[in-house]
Amino acid sequence: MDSFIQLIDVTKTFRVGKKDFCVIKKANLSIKEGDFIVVLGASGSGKTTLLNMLSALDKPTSGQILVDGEDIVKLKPNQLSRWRGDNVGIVFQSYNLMPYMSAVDNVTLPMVFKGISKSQRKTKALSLLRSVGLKERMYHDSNLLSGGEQQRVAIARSLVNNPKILIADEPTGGLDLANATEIMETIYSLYKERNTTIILSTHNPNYAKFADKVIYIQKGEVTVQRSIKSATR
Amino acid sequence: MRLADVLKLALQNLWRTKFRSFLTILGVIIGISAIVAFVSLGVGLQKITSNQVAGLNALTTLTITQTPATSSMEEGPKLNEEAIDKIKKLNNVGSVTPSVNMPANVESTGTSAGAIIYGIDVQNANIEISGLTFGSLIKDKSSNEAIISSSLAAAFNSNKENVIGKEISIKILKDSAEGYNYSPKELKLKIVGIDNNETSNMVYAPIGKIKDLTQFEKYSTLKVKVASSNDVDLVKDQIKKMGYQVTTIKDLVDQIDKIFLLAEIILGLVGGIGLLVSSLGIINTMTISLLERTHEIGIMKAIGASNYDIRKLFIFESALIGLIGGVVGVGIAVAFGSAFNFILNLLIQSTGQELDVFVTPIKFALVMIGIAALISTFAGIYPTSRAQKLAPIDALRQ
Repeated sequence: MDSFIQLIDVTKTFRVGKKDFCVIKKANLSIKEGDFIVVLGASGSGKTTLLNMLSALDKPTSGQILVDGEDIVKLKPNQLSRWRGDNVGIVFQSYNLMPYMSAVDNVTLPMVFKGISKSQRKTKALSLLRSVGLKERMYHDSNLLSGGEQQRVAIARSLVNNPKILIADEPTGGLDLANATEIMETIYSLYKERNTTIILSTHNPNYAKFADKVIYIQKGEVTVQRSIKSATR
Repeated sequence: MRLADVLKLALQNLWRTKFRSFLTILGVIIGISAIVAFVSLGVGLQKITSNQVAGLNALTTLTITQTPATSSMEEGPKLNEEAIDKIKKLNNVGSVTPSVNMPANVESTGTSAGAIIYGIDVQNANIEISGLTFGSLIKDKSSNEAIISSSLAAAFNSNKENVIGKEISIKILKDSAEGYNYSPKELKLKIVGIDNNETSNMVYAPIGKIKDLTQFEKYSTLKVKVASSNDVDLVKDQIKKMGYQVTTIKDLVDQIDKIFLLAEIILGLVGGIGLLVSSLGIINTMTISLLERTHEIGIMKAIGASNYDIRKLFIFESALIGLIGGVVGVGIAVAFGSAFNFILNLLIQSTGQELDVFVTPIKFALVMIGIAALISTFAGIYPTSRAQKLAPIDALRQ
């Protein structure tokens, strides 16, 4: 069984004043290509820190993160940007859309940085917005959309460059139950269509049903369990 | 990232903060328009002065005089027929016109005055006489006719035009061993024209008539006409080698140009202070913009923007501020200058003259637009380097 993503002795500490706080302690993980991973843990347990390292937004204090055999910890800032653009789509809890841009412009933005032509960008963005159910609101400014709609735009944006990995940091955290369920279903149906490796953090244990693997984080300790879904496969 | 996309995003960012962008661009506009207006004024005044000093005709004319004796050197060769023949043989020389000038006492309509008498080649009178205000040129070399300066005409009659057709009698003042004496004979001529010289008393007469009166042995000056102003320096050097003194209006115009160039540089520097202040405004605007957009930069980096992309975006924004400010600033300066010239020419319409006090050379205008864009690009370097160095995770936390 080949690992697509591998964490080897990954530790992350933050210095606050004169004290070091260890958020992730010597984590070892192995994720297969196409896995749907749910990261569970209480608030402040280190879920976001782990996801930030997996998405190359942050670097571990020590250890290795191998993606498809490449240690991304060793990449330089400019290489990391390109690597992220090519390999990772990120969905944030707070959507992180450009408020002054329309939904379609937000979705095309990652393609702008890749130098893709305008016509190709538009075709792809419109298709993705349709697939996340935003056909009617494509040209609305993103700050005029509801929380659920903004998160759908963020999902479309994260998938627009066909990333191998989708990292979603509590994508339903700011949404009501109905919207949260819709977002989870959207992500799951896109996952099934695309076979992208998804790493999704949440504090809602009910979402473990979507996962091939569940990663628990408690006081910096990372443990892995097979999920109900994979157990019944 | 494509250039068109960088441009679109940069314009979008400037548009988002319209008022701040407008104020920053206004700073550049003031700086650039001040420089362009000041320098255009300098160029305009320079052109007016140069044109007053020398018309196109004078620019291609060399004045040859005999080199005077000094304590270490004898006087140079005489300006006579032999000299004329030699000079005529030089390349690029069109014509050589001799003239003599000598002090005299002149009298007309019962008024006498001191004046300089010019014996001129009537056929090439236009070399000596810059322009007629009244009357006509001397018909031919045998005519007993004269042209006098405006200044002398005014001495004879307050209504200058009335002098035309009147007789003028000329007594030449000769330098001899006994001192200065008036020639015993008088030359009587008919005034046929008045030139535009308002400052000196002059009389122009056919050179043969002066020869008859004074029996002079050498000419005072030779006026050498060359084909174009580019030939002036070459012919000047050749004649100098022959031992004569050569002066050209071009020398004077060059001196005037140097003085005005200095004035233009000083005026430009005064305007440059405005541009310097506006560049500080650009640094300030771009730094504030960076602080406001830190989170946004984090998002861009998270979704694939490289440091290079962020640098391009910020640099383009800075350059656009300068470019827009430069174009508008030059436009305002040119519009102001054109309006000023238009109004001035309306006011002096009756004099028949046309004056352009503000003249903006196109090359200078284009260079100023380039400089504005360049300075604002440099002003953007500090905030840009801060923006590109931001770690995405730190930027996202803000």
